[in-house]
Parts: sequence; C-alpha cells; structure tokens
Amino acid sequence: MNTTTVKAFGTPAAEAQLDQMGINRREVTPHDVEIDILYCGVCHSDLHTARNEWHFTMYPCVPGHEIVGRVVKVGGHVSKFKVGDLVGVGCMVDSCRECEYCKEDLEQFCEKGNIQTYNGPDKHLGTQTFGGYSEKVVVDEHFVLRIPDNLDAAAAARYSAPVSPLTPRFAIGMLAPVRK
Amino acid sequence: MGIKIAKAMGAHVVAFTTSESKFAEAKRLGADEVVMSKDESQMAAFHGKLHFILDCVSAQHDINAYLNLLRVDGSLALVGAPEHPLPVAAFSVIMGRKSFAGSMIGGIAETQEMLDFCGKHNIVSDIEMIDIRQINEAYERLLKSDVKYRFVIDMASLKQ
Repeated sequence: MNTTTVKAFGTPAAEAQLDQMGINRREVTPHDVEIDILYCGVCHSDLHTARNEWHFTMYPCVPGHEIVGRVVKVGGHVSKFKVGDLVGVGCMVDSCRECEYCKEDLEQFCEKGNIQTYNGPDKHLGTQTFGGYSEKVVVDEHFVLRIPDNLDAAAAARYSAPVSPLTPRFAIGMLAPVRK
Repeated sequence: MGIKIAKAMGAHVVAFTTSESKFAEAKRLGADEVVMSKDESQMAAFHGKLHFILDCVSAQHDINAYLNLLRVDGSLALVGAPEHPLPVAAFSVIMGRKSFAGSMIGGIAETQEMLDFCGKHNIVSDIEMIDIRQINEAYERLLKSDVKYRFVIDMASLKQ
C-alpha cells in the first residue's frame, strides 16, 4: 500500500518527552477521507497512553483523538464528504461493521473491539494507529463526523472525540422524564 | 459541557461542587443552582428531587449521598473513573427504584447527533490554544488541573 510520510508529534518511549517525528499515512482507499488537521484537543487519555500508564502502549506513540480538520482528498466511493468540508475524528477509526452492536450504530461496543484512533491495530499498514498530533490523517468516511459550520473549529476539537462523556442518547434519555 | 448541553436541552440544572471557588464558574456555564456537596444541609434540600445525575467525578466520593437526591425511577450515570470501587448501599437504589449506570463514548451516529445539537444551539467548549511545542508543558499542567477546560493544539504550529 502506498503511503506518505507526514510530520507528527509523539514519543518513542514512556519516559521520553513528546517530540517531532515522521509517520506514514496511507493513500486514500475507495471509502477513505484524507484530512488536513487544523486542531487537536488534548485528552488525559493522551497522557496516560504516551506514558504507558495503562500498560498497553505500542511505541512510537502519537496521541490525539479530538481531531478537527478539512477534507483534502476523498476516495472514489465516498458519499458523505467532499473536499473542503470541515470534519472531525474522535476516539474510533474503525470497527467490524458486522456485529450486533455495529449494526445498531454502537461501534464503540463492537464485539471485535473498535479500532482506536491511536495505539490501536491499523489493519491497512500493520502498525499501530497514530493520532491527531500530526499534519494529516486518513480515515474511513463512516468514522468521520461533520462539524457544523457555525461552530468555532478549535473549540469543536474538544468534543469531536470522546465528545464529552455526555452522548446524545444519554442526554436525551436523561430529559425524557422531564418531557412527560 | 454537561452543564451547557443539559441547559440547552431545557433542563433545570443543579451543579455540585466541593469547592466554593467554582460557584460563579458553574453559574457562568449555565447552572441554575449550585450546591456545596460537603454541606449536608445544602444536599438535604435536594433529597428526592432530581431526575438524573451526571457523575463526572474521577476521585473517591460518597455515591449514596447522590443516589439519595434522585426521584423515584431516577438514574445516576457515572462517566468518571475512580481508581477504587464505590460502595453502593442497597437501600440507595431499592427505595425508589433507582438506577446506578455508567457510560463512556458514543457511537458515530450519536456523536454526529450531539455535534448537530451543539451546532443548532451554538454550544462550544472553553479552550486554551497551544502550540504543538508546548505539549509537554501542557501535560504537566493537565496533571495539576491547571486548564479551563481543554487544551487544543493549533496544528498550524507543526508546519512551521
């Protein structure tokens, strides 16, 4: 698979500081969107992972799962996005799409495990996935989010991802009794 | 974000804090009322009054004191991750048919719905923008909770 080397910020080891490095991004496949990253939020998970505090970090590690950027290239079968769109990427970049949970739009509970935006197994390149502390990212369009045009892109970065712990269904559920 | 979103959804929002210094801040974010959680009389005023509690606390805390604030059929959803188990008294949930639940990230459709909701209501987070070369310093500040409320890296700084 063809790849391009892009600038990133990451760490080679738990004890090391984050510094500039090069990482590979794949060429877009038919369902992929290539995103020029404008902003990336900093989550405490980034720190836990960079420092191997959860004991499963694969190095080198490039954190970042609160990504906002512009679409710069789309694969031949992409239907949700076009070049120039303001988009976000959160904690996940893939899942099996076949299990009961994936079919119910609950990819986060994929029976085979969702593929995390960083420190997950990258099925395309065979390495670990690298996150948003980088110039670009290539993601299947299913896992790309639209950022409403009226929102401040930088402020949106914070919640394009874990998207605040308050998921919408949850928030709606919480108010259901009030509406009765 | 929880306060802002709940307010936009039309809820009467009550914020709980252990620190008086956060009172004004909670109000600024949209809370209708703010309660000092260490003050038993302030807590007692809300016994049996709340439909839902979003528990974002990642440290040890008395979960029963909060379950007691729920109405019948109310639920408390934990999204924080305290290191040690939280003891739940049976009577905190059986009296009043209450639920103690948890949640983490949403699926893609839910996440898009949340972003669209925030777009419609013009809700954004409060952030502090940093250069990528400040990331190590930002991690140290994160450990001291010295950020309101999120660091965001301006990735143009990586291209320089």
